[in-house]
This record gives sequence, C-alpha cells and structure tokens, in this order.
Amino acid sequence: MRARHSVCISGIGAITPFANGWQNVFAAATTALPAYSPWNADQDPPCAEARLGLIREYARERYFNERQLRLMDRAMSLSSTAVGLALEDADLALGEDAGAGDEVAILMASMRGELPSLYRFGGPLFRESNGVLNPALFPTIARNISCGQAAIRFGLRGWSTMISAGEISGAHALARAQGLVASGRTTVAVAGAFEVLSPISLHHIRARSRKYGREHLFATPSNDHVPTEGACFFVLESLQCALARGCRPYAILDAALHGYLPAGKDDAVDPLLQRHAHGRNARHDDIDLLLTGTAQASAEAILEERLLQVLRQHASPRLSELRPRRVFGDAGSLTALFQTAVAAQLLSDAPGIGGGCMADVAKPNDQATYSSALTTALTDRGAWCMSSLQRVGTQ
Amino acid sequence: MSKRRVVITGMGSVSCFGLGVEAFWNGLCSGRSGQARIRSFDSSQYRSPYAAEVPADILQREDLALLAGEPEESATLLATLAAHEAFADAGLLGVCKKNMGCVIGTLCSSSQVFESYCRQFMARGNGVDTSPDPDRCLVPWQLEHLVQHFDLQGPSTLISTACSSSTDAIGCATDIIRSGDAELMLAGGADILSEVVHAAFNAVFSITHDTAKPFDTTRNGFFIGEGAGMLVLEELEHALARGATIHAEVLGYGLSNTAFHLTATSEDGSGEALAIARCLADAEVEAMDIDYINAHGTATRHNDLTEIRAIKSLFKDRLPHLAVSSIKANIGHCMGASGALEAIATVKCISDGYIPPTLNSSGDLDPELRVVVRTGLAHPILHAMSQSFGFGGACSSLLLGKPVLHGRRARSHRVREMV
Repeated sequence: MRARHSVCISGIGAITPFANGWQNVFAAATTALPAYSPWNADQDPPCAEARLGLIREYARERYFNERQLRLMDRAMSLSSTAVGLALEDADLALGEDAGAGDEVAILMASMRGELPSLYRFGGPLFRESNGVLNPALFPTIARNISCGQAAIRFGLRGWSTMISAGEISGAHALARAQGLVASGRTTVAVAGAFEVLSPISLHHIRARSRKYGREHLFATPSNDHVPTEGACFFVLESLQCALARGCRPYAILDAALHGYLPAGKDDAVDPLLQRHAHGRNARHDDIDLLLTGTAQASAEAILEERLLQVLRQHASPRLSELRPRRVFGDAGSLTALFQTAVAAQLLSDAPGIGGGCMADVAKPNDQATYSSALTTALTDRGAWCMSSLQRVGTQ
Repeated sequence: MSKRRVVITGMGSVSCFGLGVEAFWNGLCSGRSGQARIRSFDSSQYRSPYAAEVPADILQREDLALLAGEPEESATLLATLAAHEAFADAGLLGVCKKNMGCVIGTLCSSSQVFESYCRQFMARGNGVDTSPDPDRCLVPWQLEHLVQHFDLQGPSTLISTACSSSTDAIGCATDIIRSGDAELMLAGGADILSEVVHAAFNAVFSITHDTAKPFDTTRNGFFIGEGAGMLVLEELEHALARGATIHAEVLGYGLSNTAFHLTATSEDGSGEALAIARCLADAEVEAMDIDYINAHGTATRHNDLTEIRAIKSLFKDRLPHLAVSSIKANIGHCMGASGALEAIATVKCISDGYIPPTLNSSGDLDPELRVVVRTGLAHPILHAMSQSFGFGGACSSLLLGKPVLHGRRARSHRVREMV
C-alpha cells in the first residue's frame, strides 16, 4: 500500500453573491448576514418574500480577455475564475510556466450547473421538432466542460474528473482530491464546485421544493433556503510540499467518509459515526468545531439532530457549532464546500472571530482558536458525507 | 505493506444485441453491428438517421421494469438490469449489500426526461408542475435509484466526464476498495440515445454518413449507441474467502486532462498519453507487458490519429506484439457507458483469449499499428488496457489482467478449483 501523505488546504478561491475572493467572503460572512435580493416577478417567485442570491459582479477579466469570455458560458467563467483565485491564494502561478500544471489535478462538481446551457442549446429542438441547433454552443452541454476550460486556462493536465451526484457533489470532489494527494498520485489538486441560476434552474428548484413540501420555506426570513449561485475551489497539497515551498496552509484535511442512508434511517446514525471514528483512527472527543446544516427536508433535519446529539455527547466540552447556511444560503453542491472553507479558515493562523453570524444565536461563540473540526452533509436523497480538518501542527 | 488487490467477480450488460453479457459478447464475436434506423424519435431531418438502440422490448417489458424497481427512466432501467445480472454473476443476489457502494459514469442519463421537462416549461411558461418528477430530470437519478433499489449504503458517487465517464467510474471504485472503505463495489454506467446529443453530433459532422470504420483512412465518424455495463469489483482476499469466480483483476487506472481544446483531442496525443502512462505506473506494469488495447476508436478524423500518436509514444517497441481494436463499429459510441461496455469486452478478450475484429475497417490508418480487422485474433492476453477520451479534455485508461494467484497466472477463473 502506498504511503499516505498528510494533505493540507493551501488555497481557497470563492465567488459568492455578496463578495469575491475567499478572505473578502469570510470577512463579509462573519460581519453580517447577507441581504439577498428579491426573487424577481418575471422569474415566477414562489411568494412575495422569496429571495435569490445572484452574482452581479465578479472579476471576469482577471484571467480571461473579452474574446475568451464571449466563447464561454457563465458556468465556465465563474468556475475558472474561482480556480484562478484559489491558485493565487495558494501562491501557485501556474499559467506562466509551460508544463508547471502537468501534474496538477483538477476535480470539479456541480449539482445542476449545466442546466442553463443545456436548455439554451436544446431550445430550438424543444420548441419545434425541426429546430436548428447552434453547433458553437454544443460544448457547453457537456457537464465537465467547465473542468476542461479551467484546465486549458491554467495548463492543468493532472488527474481530472467531474462529479455530478446532487447536493453532495462538492464534498465528493474534495474527498476524491484528498485521496489523490494522500495516495501520492499527485502533489497538488484543485477541487471544488460551481452553481449557476437561470429561469429553468429556478423552475426546477421550485419543483423540487414543492415535491418535498418545502415551498413555504421560501418565505422564511433566514437565508438557509435562499437559492444562491457561486463557485468555491480549494488547492490541496501534500503538507510536506506546501511547507517546503514556504506556504502557510489553512488546515489539514483528513480523508472523508461518505455513503447513502437507507429508508427508515434512525438506526443508521451510530454505525455511521463508528465508521467515521474508525476511519480517522481517532475518537470524536477532540473535535471542538462542528459545521452542519445541509439537511433540507424534515426527515433529514431529524436525522441530523440525532447525529448532532451523539456528536455533542462525545465531542470536546468546548464544542462550537456553526451553520454556514445562515450566510451562504442553499447553494447546491457548494453548501458542503463553504462549510469546509469556514472550518479551514477558523483552524488557520488567521482565523477571524468566532464564526460570527454563522453561530447558533442561542450559543454565541467567543472562541478564538480551534484544533479540530468536523463537517457533516446530509441530503434529502439520502447521501451523507463527513470530513474532518485539523489545525496544522496538531497531528 | 502490499496494496489491496481488486478483482472483477461479476459482470452485466445491456446492449444493442440484447440483454446480458453473453448476447453482447456473441454479437461482437460474430461481427454484428447494431446500427439501424432510429426508432425512438423522428431522425429524418438529421444528416444521419442511424444509431444502435437497445431492442425495443427491453424498454417496454413490464417484467423487466418490475425487476428493476420501475425507475421510470430508460438509462436507469438499463443500469439496473445490468447491475442485476452482475450481482447474479457474482453470486450476490439476495445477499445483504449494505456495506457495498456504487460508482456510476454517465453522460446522457435522464436527458430524455429533462427534454420533456423543458418542453413543458416552454409550453406552460411559469407555474410549477412536478410532472415529470424533477429528481428524474437530473443525472444522479441513476445513482440514487441503484443505491436505494439494491440497498447499497457504502461510498457512492456519480462521475460525468463525457465519454470517459464509466472508465473513470471503474477507477474510482477501485480506489475505494484499495483504501479499505469497502470490500465490494458496483461500478459502470448506462446511457441512452438522446435526441439533443444526436442532433448535436450531427451538427458538428461527427456522425458517420455510412458506417463507422475505426483506424481506417476512409473513416468519417461514428454512430451513437446506447446500453449499460456493470461490474462487481471486489477485494481479492474477500473474493477468495467466499469462493467467488474471478473474471479479471483491475491492476490500475489513470486519468488526465489534455488542457488543449474543449472538444477535440490533442494534436500530438501527449495529454492522452499521460492517462495511459499514469495507468501503467499505477499498475506497476511496463508498456512491454501489454498485449492488447481496447481503443477509444471513435472513427472520427481527429480522434483516431491522436490515439495512434498516444499509443505509439508509449508502446513504440511493443507495437509488433500489441493488438488493438475498437468495438464502436459494432455497438456504436455509447457515450458515458462506452467505457464500462468496453471494459467488459476487454475482460472477455482476456478470459477467452480472443479479440473480435474491428468491424468495417482495413486498419490502414497506420501500418505500424496492429489493428485486429476482418477476422478475430486468437491471442493469449495477460495484460490489456481499455481507454476512453471525452469532451473537456477528459482522458481515462484502465489496465486489466488475468489474476496472479500464489505466484501463478490463473488458467481457470474458478478460484475454488485453483486453491
């Protein structure tokens, strides 16, 4: 068996409706809850109070010229820009040296990011049976085309894949990237996810909400159920390599565990936690930071609460709990990644203050430093993922 | 500490030749082609009205739908039927599989449902309607149905790297077993003929106007196929302990991105060669040990040339002894499912010591490349590769071999007899 390497997060790039660049995003996220904009009347809002998290501005021209941008769809430009921001954050300037990216892996994920372009491309055919398609738009319907765009821009010829497993996709992409670095197949991996909103995707979001009896949640004042778009990418490296080049990593990322829960899930929590503890070769009582809140439907909220009860019993007495969804909204495959990004920031040498408005208002968090974090993701289709992060130097 | 070894203990497929691996393999060996006029939509407006669809009765039979748990989506139906056969082949039907996971690779799954959803959206405008089921519109429906239908609670995910998807999926499932997260995994994929994809490939002139001729100087493209391929992957000691039949061993896999062009393969084949080289390194096998390559072989002007360059860059000294073939002229280009079906074909080539001919081809594109054409080749195979290249620069390569047990290559795959 190959030797396992410690994997660290050395860069984070993020584009959100309220800020761009991870440090700006985190600073904004801990300062105040974003005031997302109203769901426009021409987009068939579910209720008068419904809001959306749409990206109005981001640094589109930072990595591409106008001609290049005209050939891309929104998913491609958002994701590639976030990849570039992550590489910058990690101080890896790959585009300038030919061959420098040959061994850099690129892994992407999205829940429904391709729907706008698929709808746009197929539109003539959907409207009339002999509609003529525009061949120039053909590449945009491939789910992994954004992965290819980022690879071309930054010369990334390493291991490459695209995950499309629903809301859990981002967590899976990060887990797989962690595995590639840990196993030594690659020393650097860029992994993350993107989501874009459009009339067809909003219609689909509403249809799913109605199916799961959640449409009323669009009217709630909390941001948890506000559909949002964006991109979030991480640079993962072997800790040894990162430190050797003088990088200051955010945190160590352990191997994640994931699976699917059966119907009637109440008795699945304890074995799930035992599996996770066994996989980490550690118990859960060293965890002092817990990030949760991807559950949507009521059944999953009950299950998540059961999971949290068990974790609270076994975790550190200083345990702090954060729900990044309060800030980032319902961001599809990005939701689990924002949890990881917040955890990484709080474990780093420059953590910021306590998680701010992501904290449970009943348990305000005044902690300045953390040593070990656990993120949990549960979806309404039964997928779960747990990953843990450590402060660098605590291994 | 030695690496955990991964073997294939079950296989299942649905193809244009019908249900089952036997029908699939017999179709390949008898030189049949599934290319026929498309029946599932009106194709008269397109440059080519031909594809290789699965037999209509498979999609229409109620007993098969019931067996598959009535997924109400065609690609998912095919995937579930193939998975059922794979579990039966592995002796796992009726066995609790809750620690088992599933990795699926697909491109077009749920596309027919999404097309219907879009047509409704356009016709009715705003106004939410839950018909068709919004979950069935998204590609993960195939994965979610499989894990719920077979109660697979282990690590599971879905990969969508265009035509490279299910080769990548097999590699990912292999890694999950190697890491110790599971002893058993279901891996593969299914894709169905999508009108949007057929129209798109026609629009960019990738579809042949007569027949597919991989590695032939007169090649002019492919036809789209549909089908499903599923494999049961298992940790070797786990397989030995329960007396499972071992079809082949997954020795390694490799991925890359060409970072060259959004849709075209690279000019020099270097990006594609990276995936192949990583596969060889992962398997710890030398290029000189490879006996056969099941090529991507789409028969497009660009792909075949690039693939030859990639192969020659790595196997230059092995070329006189290296057999190459493509099955896409038989079953069409099954998009995301092609990798899984080609992996099954490769396993059959290893186990039977026989390589079916590349249909319609003279193999004259490069005289140095030993393409199996016209008649099949009886050829002992210890190591074989299967490779797939897709849009977005995605490249994947898989290395399969006869399992080595107790220091000897298995002549028979009945492990109980061996031990």
